[in-house]
Parts: sequence; C-alpha cells; structure tokens
Amino acid sequence: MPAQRGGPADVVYVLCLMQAGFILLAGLGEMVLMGANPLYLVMPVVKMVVLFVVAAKVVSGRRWAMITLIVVQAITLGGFWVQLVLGFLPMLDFTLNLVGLITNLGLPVVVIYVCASMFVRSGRVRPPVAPQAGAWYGWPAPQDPYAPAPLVTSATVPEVFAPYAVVPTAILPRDASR
Amino acid sequence: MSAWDAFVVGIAPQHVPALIAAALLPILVLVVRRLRPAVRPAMIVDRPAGRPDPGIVRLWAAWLLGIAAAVHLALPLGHFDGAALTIAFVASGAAYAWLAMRVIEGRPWRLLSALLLVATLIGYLVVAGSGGEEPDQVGIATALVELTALGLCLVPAREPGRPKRFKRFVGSAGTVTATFAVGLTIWIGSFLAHAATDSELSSTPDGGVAAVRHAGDHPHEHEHAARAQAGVIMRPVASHHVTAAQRQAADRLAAATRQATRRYSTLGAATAAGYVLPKPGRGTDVHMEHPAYKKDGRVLDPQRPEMLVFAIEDGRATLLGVVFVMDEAGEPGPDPGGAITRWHAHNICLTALPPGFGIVTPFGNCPALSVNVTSPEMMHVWVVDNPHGPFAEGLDKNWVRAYNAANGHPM
Repeated sequence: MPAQRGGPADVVYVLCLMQAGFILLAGLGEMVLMGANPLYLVMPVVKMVVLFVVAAKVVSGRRWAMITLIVVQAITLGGFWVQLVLGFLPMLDFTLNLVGLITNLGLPVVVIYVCASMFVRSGRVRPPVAPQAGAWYGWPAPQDPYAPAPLVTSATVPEVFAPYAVVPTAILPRDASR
Repeated sequence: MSAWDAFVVGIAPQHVPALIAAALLPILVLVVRRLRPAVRPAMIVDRPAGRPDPGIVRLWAAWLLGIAAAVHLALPLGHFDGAALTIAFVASGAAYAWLAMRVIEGRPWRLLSALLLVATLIGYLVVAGSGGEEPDQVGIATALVELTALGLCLVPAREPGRPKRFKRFVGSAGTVTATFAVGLTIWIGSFLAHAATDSELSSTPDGGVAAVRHAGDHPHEHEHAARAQAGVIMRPVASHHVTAAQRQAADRLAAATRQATRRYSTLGAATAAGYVLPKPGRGTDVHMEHPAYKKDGRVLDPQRPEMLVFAIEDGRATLLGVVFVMDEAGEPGPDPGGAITRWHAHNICLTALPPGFGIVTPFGNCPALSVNVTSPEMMHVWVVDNPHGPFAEGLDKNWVRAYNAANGHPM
C-alpha cells in the first residue's frame, strides 16, 4: 500500500537532489583531474540516477524505495566512518569541517531518519478517526453492528414510516423482522 | 595540524557571530514559544480531508529561512563593512525573517522566497567568485541552507490526483543545477583566492626571499587560509608580521635548497638519485617522489627533499623546485620563516572504481565509492627565479612553459 504522499517525502526528495548535485560536482572535478577521462563520471552518474529514481519513488510512497534509500545513505554514512578510521594511519589524516559534517553526516542521518519513520508509518493500519467536537471532517464514527439497536419512538420515526412502526419497539434487521 | 585546528581554520573570524546566531536560533524559538504558547502555527491547523500534509515542508522551510535570517542579521557584527553592505545584510536578514513568518502563518511563500534566495546566492557568488571574499565554512554552510530552501521552493509538493510532473521535473533540474553551479563557483573562487595570495608574495629587491606584502592599511584582509578546504588546507599562522630573524632563516633555507638541488638539475640525475618519475611523466608540475626520503625521519632537510618538481615538455626538462613533506600526517612542520615558510596539506578523494584521485569539493564531498583523506603537511620551495618568490604556493603554467622552453635541459 503506498504511504501517504507528500510531506516528509518531499523534503527527502529535495535533500536527495542536493546530494545528486554534490556528486555531479565531485565527479566532474575528479574527471578533470584525471585527464578528462569520462570513465570517472560513470559511478557518479549511476549514483545520481539511483538517488533521483529512488527519491521519486519515495515520494510515491513505495516502501522498497524507502529501504533502498536507507541502504544508500547508510553506505554514505559508512564511508564517513571509514574515512575517520583511515585518518588513524600514519601517512593519512582526515579533515573534519563544518560543511563536511553537514553533508556527510547530518544529511544522510536526516534522510535515514525520515525514511525510517515514513516506512514505519506506512506499515501501520490506520485506526478510524472519530469525529472531534467542532470538526467538520473526518472518518465516520465506528459502529458495532451487533450492538443493541436504539429504541424507536414516534418522535424519531419519520412520518412516512410511521404506519409501519411499532411503538415502542426496536428496529430489527430486515431478516430478523420477517 | 590537529583536527580541531583544521576545523577552526575553516571558519573566518568575521563570520563567527553569524555562526553563533544560527546556533542560538533554536533557543530563541524555544523562548518565544514559552512566552507565547497561544500562538499556533497555521502549518498544523486542521486542513481539508484528502490534502497532503504540508506541515513538514513548511516546517523545514521556516527553519531554513530562519537560519538564513539569523546569519544575515548577525553578519554586520563581524564584518565591519561599509554602510551600504551593512544595510544590505540587515535588509536581507529582515526579509528572510519576514518570509519565515509567512511560512509559519500559512501564507504563500514560495515565489518571494525563491526570488530572495536566488538574489542572495548570486550576490554571494559574485563576491566569492571575484575574489572579494574568500569562501569559508560558514559562508558555504549558509549557501547550503539557502540551496535547500530554494529546492523546497522550486519543487512543488506532490498531491494525490495532481502529480505536477512537468513542474516537479523543472524544479528538480533547477535544484541540481543550482547546487552544482554554486559549488563550482565557490570552488573557482577559492582557487582564485589561492592564486591571489601568490601575487602578494614578492621577491625582495636584493633577490632574497619573498616576504608577505600587505596592502593598504588592512594588512590581513587578503590573508588566504583556504577556508573552503576544497583540496587545500592551510595551516593558520601565528603572526603575519615577519621578523628579521625569520626572514633571514627563510633566506637561508631557500639558498640551501637551491644549492643542494643543483645536483638534480637534470632528469637523469634525479632518477639516478632515486627519485621516481610518475606516469605519464609530462607536464608543467611533475612531482617525483623519493620513497626512502619520505620515511627517513628528517624534516625540512635541503639535502634530502622528499619530492622534486620538474617541468617536462617538448623534449626539455627543468627542475623548478622541491616539496618538503612531513613523515606523518597531522604532524606540524617547523616554520623557521614564520608566515613566509607556510605549510599546507591536501584533502583528496581516493576512488576505488576506477582507481584514481580527485580533490574534495567545497561541499566536503567526494565522488561515489571514494574516501576523503588528508595528506601530511608539505611546503614548496622553488629553486628557479619566478615572479612570486621561492615560497609561492604554485607557479603560473604559462610562465613555466616559457621558462622551460628557454632554460630547460634537453632530454
């Protein structure tokens, strides 16, 4: 069942578009540095397309897309920790800065959190909502079909049905009344 | 350079008030909500049935515009610019705050916000791209906030029965393009700032070592600290004022390096001494490493430079200079010449598929399937007479080509 459309998914979609822009920039930068070899654009373009398609499907409420996006972001997040570990090697270091923290840590965490919460919500069966006092919309009030029927009085029966009403008595289901 | 030093050097001192203002915004919002609990944002007011929940998008937009407002309102506290720029900062901050309130009140916000965001981003890019201000972490982070808000403006929320496919496609393409263009311009701006620093380094009249030349009455306003940290990380200097002793020490280092590297003036001599020529082995800045010298424990030794830099083109080769490299990453190198002998490191992307390397973008990113690592600190010392002196960060390619054509050794 598709999850609710719009809302958090639209935010995830925009964040994924921004990630696509980051990747495109990084890919082009590397391609230029590696002698304009277009092979270095293959993986960035693949990831861009994956992000774009999956984010669009998240907006459509597809649960598989939410899982895929969580996995993709988890890989990105994993890369951040790999970089931290590599920084402990003698010949390498890892530079942490404000923007890097936002894009490599904050952004994936937000996308994972929002996708996970959407995924959980989309799996739940929504209980019917009773109309609130003063509200003008909502689901109809739940009714127990086996509950005792209310007594019908002449005051509650429309005039057109009055000749058929037995007062005081209960209105029974059609089968039972025969 | 420690991790904390690298983090701090990325933030321009004049932007610290703006960063603090942005960090304090949640507290301010909390206080206002406590004081005025009756105020109920229109974004959570009951809406007609069947309509998608616009609350989260509006909530994000309100926060992002609010952060932009806080940053712009606080910028004059650190910038101390002229009246016109101060008024511009305050006006844009007030406009952002007004738009954030519009979002909270449930009124239309997308068009006006998009116009203001685009205008602000263009203004920042013009300043950063023309070398008017070196891009720093606060500036880039603010641009990120504005780009996210712009994305929320451009991409319409999808609604059941109203897919708005064309509008969403155009908005999506616009968001990706804007992100790319902003990042590219900031990148170019940071390189321009780097190049501009070299032009401020000049040889002394007697042909000695370069000194930091200060412009006008504001000697430090053009200090380049590579605060974008997009490929280059500069170590902060304790003082920009070079003492006579430091100048003499830098002179000695440059002279000793020039003297010691005479024996490597030809490519053959360099390779015979153990320096490795990388493939393809052509260009205006071919770096030849000496594997043994890179881990010999000797630092800033003119007799054993870790790298030689050659220009190799058109059948001629010229030894341009050396690169001293620290043995371990994160370890600060000695700076006998103070601000003249300044070390830097490179943050690069190591890519697995296909194997290669790039440099980190201003957004702190690497391509897919790559990791971001930082090299040990290094320092160039040029042994050829160049316009920017022996301690310039780099040499102009055109100048190198001309010099190599005129003075290079035949290969």
